[in-house]
Amino acid sequence: MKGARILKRASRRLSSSLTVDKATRAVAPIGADGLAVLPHSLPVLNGAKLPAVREGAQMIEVTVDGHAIQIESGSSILQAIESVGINVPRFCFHERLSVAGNCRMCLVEIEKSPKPVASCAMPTMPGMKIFTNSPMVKKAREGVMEFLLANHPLDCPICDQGGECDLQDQAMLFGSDRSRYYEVKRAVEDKNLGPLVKTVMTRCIHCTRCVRFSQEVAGVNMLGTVGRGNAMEIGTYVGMALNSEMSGNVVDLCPVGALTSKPNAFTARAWEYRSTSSIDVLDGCCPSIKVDNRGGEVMRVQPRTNEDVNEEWISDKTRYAVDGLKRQRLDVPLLRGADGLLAPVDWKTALQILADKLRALRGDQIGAFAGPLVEVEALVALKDLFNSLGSTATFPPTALSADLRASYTLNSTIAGIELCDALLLVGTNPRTEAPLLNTRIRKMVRHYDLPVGLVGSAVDLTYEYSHLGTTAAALSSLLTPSSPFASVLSAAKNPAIVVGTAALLREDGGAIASLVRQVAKASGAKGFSVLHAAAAAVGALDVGFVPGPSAAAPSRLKLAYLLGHDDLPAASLPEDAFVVYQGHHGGAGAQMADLVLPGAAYTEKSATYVNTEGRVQRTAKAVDPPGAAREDWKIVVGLALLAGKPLPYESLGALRERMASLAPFLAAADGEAVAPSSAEIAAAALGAPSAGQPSDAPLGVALSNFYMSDPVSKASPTMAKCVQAFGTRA
Amino acid sequence: MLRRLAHSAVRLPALAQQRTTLQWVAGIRTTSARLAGGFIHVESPENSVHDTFTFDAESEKEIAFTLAKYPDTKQGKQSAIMPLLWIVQQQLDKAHATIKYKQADENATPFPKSQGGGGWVPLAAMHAIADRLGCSHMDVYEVATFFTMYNRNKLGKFHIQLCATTPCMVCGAYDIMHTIESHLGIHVGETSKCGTWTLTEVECLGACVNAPMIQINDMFFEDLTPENTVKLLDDLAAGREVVVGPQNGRKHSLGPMGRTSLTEPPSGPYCRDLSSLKSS
Repeated sequence: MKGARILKRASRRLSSSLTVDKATRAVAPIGADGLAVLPHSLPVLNGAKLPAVREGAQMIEVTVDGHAIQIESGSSILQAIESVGINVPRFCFHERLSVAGNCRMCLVEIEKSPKPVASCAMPTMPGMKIFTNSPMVKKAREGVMEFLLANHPLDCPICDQGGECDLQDQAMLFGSDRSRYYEVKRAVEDKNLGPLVKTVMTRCIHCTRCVRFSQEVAGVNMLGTVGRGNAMEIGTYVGMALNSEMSGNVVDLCPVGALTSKPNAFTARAWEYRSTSSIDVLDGCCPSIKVDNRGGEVMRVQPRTNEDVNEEWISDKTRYAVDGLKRQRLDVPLLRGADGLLAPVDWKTALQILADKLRALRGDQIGAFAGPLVEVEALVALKDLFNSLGSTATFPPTALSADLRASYTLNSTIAGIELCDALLLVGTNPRTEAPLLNTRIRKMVRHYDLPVGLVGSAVDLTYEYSHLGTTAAALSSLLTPSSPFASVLSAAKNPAIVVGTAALLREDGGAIASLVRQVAKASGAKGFSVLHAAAAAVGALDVGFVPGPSAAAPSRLKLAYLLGHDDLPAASLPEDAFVVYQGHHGGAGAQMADLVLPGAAYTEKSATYVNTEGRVQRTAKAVDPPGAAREDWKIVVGLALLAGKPLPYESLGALRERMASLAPFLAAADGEAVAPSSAEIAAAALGAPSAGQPSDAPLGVALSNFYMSDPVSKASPTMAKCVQAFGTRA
Repeated sequence: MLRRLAHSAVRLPALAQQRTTLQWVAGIRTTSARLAGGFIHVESPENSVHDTFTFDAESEKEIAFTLAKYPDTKQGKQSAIMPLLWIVQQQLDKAHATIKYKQADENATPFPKSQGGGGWVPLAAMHAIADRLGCSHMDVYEVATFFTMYNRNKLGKFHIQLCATTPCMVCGAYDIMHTIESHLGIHVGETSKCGTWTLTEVECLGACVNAPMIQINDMFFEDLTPENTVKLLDDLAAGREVVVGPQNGRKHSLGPMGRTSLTEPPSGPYCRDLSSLKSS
């Protein structure tokens, strides 16, 4: 009895925490004919945005359920209906994919049309009268639903899609509570699509969203429909894994439980998650994500729609590397003892030892190195501390000149890549360094034949490009107007040039940058864009986390402070240097450290990041840091206090005011806009050519391993499986 | 119950019914279950992803002729997937030249070369086609799996396609099926161990008037009885001459009473009397 009460209470709590739209979950009453009685009007989309009318578009008038509306000529009926906020059920239609029109769920009635029509595939005509809630529509949709359910297994209780399944939701509106189908259901063999996507192909309703996504967006034509009729299957025919860095998105696209997340199989239910809207920092684009956690554990990451950055896709690293947040974590301060082993100490001891060291050393004997995932707050605090200790040896993740913002950001912006009419890539592989930028470029190549040229290693970018050469000499040849791609660039009205950090961080980076500037000038480009693969890169340059002119070289340091920096070769520091590692993962940096200070990962703190285009965004805290780990800026502030150089801020708000005083655009971290650089500033970034000749060494790429590029993804077992299955994608 | 009765009425012969029932119970009955192979590539020594395929000179000639018919665009060339698959099947039909045959109707068109009915398309050939046409491998897989006339697994020297659609079925197609099965020791969808025979059940081949019938490679053998089926199979196996067309001496598809209507030339007026048009 008591148990039942507890159960009831628990289920009430669960149902109240549901985030699903209540209206779509309402059970429709059954009419005299045994069919569901539909509400007069379908749920209205909350805050539905009316599509912007393109310039020069011809408007026509159609009537939706008696309301006359104006809509662009050529719009589909579904768009017309959505524009007045009426929801149309659908499985195959997806606004970012081509129209397939094969699920038939979006049927509506058109006056004088004898049959219901698929609204996603039928264009509107002037004067068309559309009905979305007539008896014909109701019967048609119920019929479609009955056919879909005829071969769909009744395994919702063990299906990972349960609770966030389009078929479940729409069956509540259009499905009958009993079946008229007594035959044996069809069964389909499951396909092995690799370590990320789990398949239960019997559940597939053949909407072909995954096929269209992999062909159109991901650019890997590996999924298809094999066979026909009742025997049709979705698969690769040859039993290959879905080899794409964007493959996880098919899990979101699948309207049923046919494609689910393999690492998350059978771990949690959709209604158990607590969602936090945040951003990802594992690549330089910082896509918008939703961090789903349960019981203080990050379970999964899903994309949030952000038209400016990631549309509604995220890369596999963003999505699946989060299981690295539970492994190899530093959760207690560690001190290297006389035996050479790291042993736990308490915070006070750890910070006191470090503060004593800092007091004992001169300013030119200490230096700080920032890693790829460090937020602006910690960078500012550490820079302020080191400056007050008399050191300017603060080394950013990407050592570029911080003088002019336009010279180190992606000035074209990610969405703005869609506006360029010629694109030159220099020393970069956008497919690994910024998969979301790469899908944008692919979109433009696919739809508008955007001419793309690449100087650097010839990699598979999923679209056609002209490979101009592997060395900087190819850039010089672009300066001669006779070269074919130079004429493409100069003929373009709005050419864009994207340079990878691999090209700029070389010994001869200055010379290469100078060549790129000359190419930009010659082609009339407004500037050039730098593509960063690290989320901390632009933020560090924005707040001036760069070595000063008199900064000590790393080889002369007595104390090195590694702030989440794992890639510093031990040989670059002197043997007797005291190494401090502050970060969240026990990687290479922690292994060479004498003192380890456990910090918080990006899901465990509210932290500001500036993405490669200069967009200021903030993560949100989804869970607590593990054990004794603390937010990074707090560690630095506490250390400063003990070192006798207290910093003038004790709260996050005060620290952010300090950040805003360094760089005013950091104040509004809403991610809404990117401060565009004016034409003059962009021209100034093109600057005077610097001396020196680039070497003839081939241009490399920034990431040697796409799946393991930072402390989080290096600790992720799923990413390790991806490397096994797909290689490094270098 | 009514539904079940109807069910067994349709699937009369006991063996077929037993097997289909089993497949129904297992819940895996698909169209593919009755053909040779499913819709997944099965790696085998003779059909491997690591193989390479080269078109022979004859095929190259046909490919050039075929591609000339389509626009020289990506989509246009993709349209040539179907004819190219068929060209591969013709190239790999090694048995055609070895069959000695005579047409039941001496005026019938001869078969100078294979029409592809006895061949197959290895995976390597699909890849070669995709590379030739500039489309993805998947595009070719989709076409090759959609149409049953493309055989995606190596078949026996003789590919027996037994029509079991309604007219043939009511005329005893399943008797012929059992005769073949017991005579050759294989079931539908199987290839004999000696590699000589493959038996598949297909839908209507359009020779309903002469039912029951089978197609062996490119040739129709019609008006079958268990007896003449056995003789036909033995003759083929022994390399003796076989008669293509009706096996019971019937001419074309004449009824038992011979021609009973349309025995004289039509008397006119003709629908397009061009000479009269000219004179007027």
